Amino acid sequence: MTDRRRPRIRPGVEAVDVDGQLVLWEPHSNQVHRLDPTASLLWPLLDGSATVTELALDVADVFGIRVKQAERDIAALVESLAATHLLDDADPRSAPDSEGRPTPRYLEDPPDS
Amino acid sequence: MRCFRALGYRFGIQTSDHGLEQFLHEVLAPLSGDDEPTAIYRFRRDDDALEVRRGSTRIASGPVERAVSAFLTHVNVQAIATVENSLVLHAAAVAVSGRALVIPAQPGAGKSTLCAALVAAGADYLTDEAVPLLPDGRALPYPKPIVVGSGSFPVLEAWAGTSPALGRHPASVWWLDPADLNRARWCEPVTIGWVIAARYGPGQPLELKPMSAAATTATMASNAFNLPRFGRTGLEQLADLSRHVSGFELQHGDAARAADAVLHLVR
Repeated sequence: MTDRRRPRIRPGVEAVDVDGQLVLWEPHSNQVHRLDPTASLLWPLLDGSATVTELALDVADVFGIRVKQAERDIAALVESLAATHLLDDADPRSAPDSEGRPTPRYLEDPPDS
Repeated sequence: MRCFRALGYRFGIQTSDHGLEQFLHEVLAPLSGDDEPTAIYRFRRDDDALEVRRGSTRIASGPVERAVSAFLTHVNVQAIATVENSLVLHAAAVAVSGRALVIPAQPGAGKSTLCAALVAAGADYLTDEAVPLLPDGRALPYPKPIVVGSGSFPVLEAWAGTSPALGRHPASVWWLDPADLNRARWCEPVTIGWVIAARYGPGQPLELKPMSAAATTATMASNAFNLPRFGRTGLEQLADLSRHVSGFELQHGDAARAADAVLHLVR
């Protein structure tokens, strides 16, 4: 199955790297989010130029994991980022069926929120 | 007229009721100053009710404790608005061994109670409400009265009998002055040593554990009053600060025990 979504970071979202983890600030909602280290590595790739499947091919190659696994993980990341309005162009309705598997958690909320 | 200073906000109070004036002077003692006021609040008491006006605007009206709390909230908002060139965290803070321990948190998280418990356990006082961060990362004190509700009274026994009172009814709010426990109220900027993300929950077991620099950054950014004014620059300032402080997560169900644990950790 091919996931043709081309995730793109919403314009205006600011990101700072703190020891390998990105802290994001979304100015429209004034919300702060924290990505886990894996999602922090993927974040710069979300520029709208590649589909989820294309990203998965690259990630699988770099990290030596199966393409299907990479695709599932990236799709889960895209969905969690879209749900928190951090992406400009990610439509969860077009996502392929997750086949009931548990999805990884990429967003780490601040401990006091 | 006596003047008070809350960060850059200078205000005076006016009332023809001598008892009320003395009570307000006691409540506002931590903010006493010598400057000329730029705003004047006028208070009028009618039995157990109080009306507060600034100019022609009514700030508060109702039972004394509620009206005084609303007045202090108004002062806080004005004070924070005077800080133009610094990020301001919604946070309590105390000083331990010459360094600031900052507790950023949303309303209702118990930061004032934890702050009062820390002061009772030996810390010096910076604020229970707002921490302006200077560009060099130091915290600017805002030593306003510590305000705690009646739910906190049982764990703050050291403060019993110190809050000013007015009216016939049992107090439902305490306005606390650290000077009453012989603790210092700091006025000079302090280097920040620790940031604690504290969360109170009734019956919750005490847990205090290290927090990553990223989590510390996110905690401070989530509780910055004015992050939109600074945007990326503000976020970078908080990230830089987080790399130089020790961050901790604290969960607790008893502020006095939590204060002892925190002071044991940082001393």
